[in-house]
Amino acid sequence: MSTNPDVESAAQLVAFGVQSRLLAGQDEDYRSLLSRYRTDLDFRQLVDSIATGLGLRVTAANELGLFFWADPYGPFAYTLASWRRERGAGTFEDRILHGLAIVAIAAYFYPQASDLETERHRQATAAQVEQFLRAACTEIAKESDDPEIEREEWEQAASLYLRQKEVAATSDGRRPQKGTQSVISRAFDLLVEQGLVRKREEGNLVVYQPNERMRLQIAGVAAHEAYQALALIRRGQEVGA
Amino acid sequence: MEFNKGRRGESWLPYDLRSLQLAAIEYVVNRQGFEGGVARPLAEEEISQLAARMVPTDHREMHRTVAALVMSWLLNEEESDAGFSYAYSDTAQSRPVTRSYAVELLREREMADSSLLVKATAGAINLLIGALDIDVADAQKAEERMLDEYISAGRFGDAAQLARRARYRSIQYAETIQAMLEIAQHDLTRVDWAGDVMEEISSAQAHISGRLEDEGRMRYRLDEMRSEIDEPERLRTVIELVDLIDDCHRRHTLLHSKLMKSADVFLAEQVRQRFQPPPSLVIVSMNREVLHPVLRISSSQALKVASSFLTSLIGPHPPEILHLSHLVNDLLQPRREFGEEEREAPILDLTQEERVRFSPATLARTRSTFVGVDQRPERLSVLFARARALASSEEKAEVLELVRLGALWAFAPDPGPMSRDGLLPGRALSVDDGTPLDDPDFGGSDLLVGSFEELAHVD
Repeated sequence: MSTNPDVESAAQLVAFGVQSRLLAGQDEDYRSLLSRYRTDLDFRQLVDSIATGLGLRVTAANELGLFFWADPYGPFAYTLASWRRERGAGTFEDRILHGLAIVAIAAYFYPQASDLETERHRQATAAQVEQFLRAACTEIAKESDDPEIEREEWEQAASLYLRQKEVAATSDGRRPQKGTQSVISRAFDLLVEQGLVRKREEGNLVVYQPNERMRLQIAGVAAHEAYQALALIRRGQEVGA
Repeated sequence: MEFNKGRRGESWLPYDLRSLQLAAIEYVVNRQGFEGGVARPLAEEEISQLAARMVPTDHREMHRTVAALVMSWLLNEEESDAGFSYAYSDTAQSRPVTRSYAVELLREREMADSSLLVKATAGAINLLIGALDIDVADAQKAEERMLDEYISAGRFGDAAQLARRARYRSIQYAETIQAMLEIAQHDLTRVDWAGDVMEEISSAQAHISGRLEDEGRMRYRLDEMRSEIDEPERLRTVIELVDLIDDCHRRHTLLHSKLMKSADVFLAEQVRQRFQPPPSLVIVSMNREVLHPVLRISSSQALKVASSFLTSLIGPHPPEILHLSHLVNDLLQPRREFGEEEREAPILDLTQEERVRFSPATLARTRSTFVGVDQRPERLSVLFARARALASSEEKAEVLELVRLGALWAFAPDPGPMSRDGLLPGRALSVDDGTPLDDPDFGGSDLLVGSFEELAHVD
């Protein structure tokens, strides 16, 4: 079987890029393929085509590595459903809370648009993000006086969050499994696992810091995707009203 | 920050936060250049030790809190204080207006090997030198000339002071060039290649060639002087000067190689970016434009938005490779629910009947082997030799094993039997400086075993 060396190299670079915990500094081959991508236009086109075929799109290519966006219907997408399969997220309420936690962590690290423009590694603890999210919910709950809604699907996300306890006490004083703070810790753990956040333990305090990958993914595509999805919902509401 | 510390409570008053900040910047700058910067926990440890010297109490926690705050403040992480800024009056208007000027002093950068390092900005280095808005090249040349004169006149104390400043200048120069290269790699349209950039590069090149020559000459003169001086105090200052100048020399050589490459970087980026349409950057405020709207809509809609955010945030996730052993485990595992209280196995008290592996005599021998390392760090090879001399032939193997375990434990000390039995003196630490161990029974690195205070800074 004969192979085309250029295509092989291009596909190899894609394979390096999809490994979320690998950076170019850690692999000699990755580094040299990356610099070829950055300087050789033909090679770049080849890599981009292979990526497109796999349901990927390049969001950033810098000295740290090659970063992708994954088509939600493609083979590489990671969804809330995949997370549920791995960890077993039970109820509808649990899924919402975990989703909100991920958005809140991103907003805590990079609150302003300008924070996404330059590298930044702000620290956070689960408790800080919890307070931040709770404060936002309280602010929103104040401005709207929702009538009591029976079905939880129609309940405003903020008020659903506010119904939860921050830390649910356990009868025997063990580390609580319930409560919003542990939801946020679990969301952080997922981000650590996917190479977006790093974890550091200082005594009994757990501190999280975003990696540059996190900023690139949010600034490159995720913030925009969320914004688009929100715009679509808003338009739908206007039509429906 | 210094003004407001009283608001944080009584216990903050004795700390001179301003000098802690300066010390933090100095610590970072001194480690910049070759190492690229310093890891945040190391910097915090350094400041908290300084704080401990400033306020000699036992509140280690308090020192740490102070150090953490100083760092987060210098990194502009403190929301309430709105960054590091100072006020000045703008008299260009018809009436003087007070404005505040925000300076970024330290910033954290992720390196290609995924380490996270704190670096000082050019502004921070200026603050350290105590001068703002001076052209780097001019200031440096002036200082070098002074340095030359001080050395000729034998005023070594002054010369050492100046050499230190000259080194800060060199680091600052490297940072300026590096920053320009980085901007160019992202977006060429933001730099003026033919104008500013060429000018900066050629002036930097001229600067370096002058610097290398001067340093060589000074180094030569110092070497000559060194052989004539016999006062120990003056000799020490001269040696310190030689080290400083050598360090400057290394930094200039590094900057030089960076400059040689810079032209290639610019040309390559020009080719690369010429064919690229300018990125359509629609950057969104995560807080106001995403989080708040998501919280406002209904839960089921919020779930949809959060899902699509998660998918694009995480990016590609290669499918898990299936291993037969994992598959069997996974299939046998009961389905887990979130929030389900995990049942923990009752913790059996296994320590009651402790198996005594080492005899009290062996422990005592080991303890006396380690005596004194808290005063003066020792190599593991020396400790092995000491243990072989101390122990009788039947207990030798066990004592050696314990010495090995003790040195390994000190590499990453954690509470446990090791610290309980007090094998090593308090706050012991061992570090690996890369020296290989030459021993008939053991392999690996020849660790340095000593006190935490002595060894915490050895890289």
